Amino acid sequence: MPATADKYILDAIDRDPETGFRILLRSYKEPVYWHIRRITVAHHDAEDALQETFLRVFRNIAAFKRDMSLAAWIFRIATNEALRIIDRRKDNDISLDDISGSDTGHPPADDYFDYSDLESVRLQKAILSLPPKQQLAFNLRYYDEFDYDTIARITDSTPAAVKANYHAAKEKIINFMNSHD
Amino acid sequence: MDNFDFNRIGKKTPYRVPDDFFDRIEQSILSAAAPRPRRRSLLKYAAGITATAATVSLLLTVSGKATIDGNRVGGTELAQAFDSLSDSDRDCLLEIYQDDIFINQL
Repeated sequence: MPATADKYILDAIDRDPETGFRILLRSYKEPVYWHIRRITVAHHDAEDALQETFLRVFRNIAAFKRDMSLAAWIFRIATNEALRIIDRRKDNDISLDDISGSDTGHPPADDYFDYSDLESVRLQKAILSLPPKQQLAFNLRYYDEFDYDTIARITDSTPAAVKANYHAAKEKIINFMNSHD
Repeated sequence: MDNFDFNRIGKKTPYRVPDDFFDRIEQSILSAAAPRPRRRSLLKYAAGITATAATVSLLLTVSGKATIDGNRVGGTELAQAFDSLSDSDRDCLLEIYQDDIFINQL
């Protein structure tokens, strides 16, 4: 989200919080949902995390400081919500194997999944096989196109560490995809 | 073996959402975020109950309409009866009478 768009949203919230929040929601709901979904995998978990994310944003927007990127702040809240849901269901972990029941014989845990595109399913499996920091660095760079500084703010890390995690992730994904060809 | 090329997939993912999901979630979030009516403070609430009980008793006593089995009932009995009501019944009574301009004119 460009900084000018964020400024427009924040100015709108200052003028009229309800209208401003509606504009914020319209601008961010889809990218934030897809970011959460890539972490939680299951749609119902992503829906819960999305709802909680925007309620937190709404409750705390008055405390938001304009010297920070609005996108980074929202994605940081979203990432924490998604990870909290993952943590809560640790004993009942959902993977793409559970969802794409054809591989394991398990019933699908989620209807909102396209099994037909095998290559994109394999790519998600490769991403989900990475350690959490590498997953986040890869998703936020590859799908959301954030720069390393912003990703560092979202993940509470440093730009150098994010860059290292992103390149390590990319290499592991290429190896995974080549070995599962 | 060919090297995997990210450009072949781009940003496609296998994840899908239900029809109209983003419209519905927007409404759901906006409803959940809408400010709720503020509850009055306990002190103000207690004062309201007392004032309303007294007003209702006074009104019925003065007008002579409060009777049980044909006998007139005094303000004390009405106040006691009000005291013995459940919270929800008191709430209901307050809702009905608290802003009643005719009672409050007395």
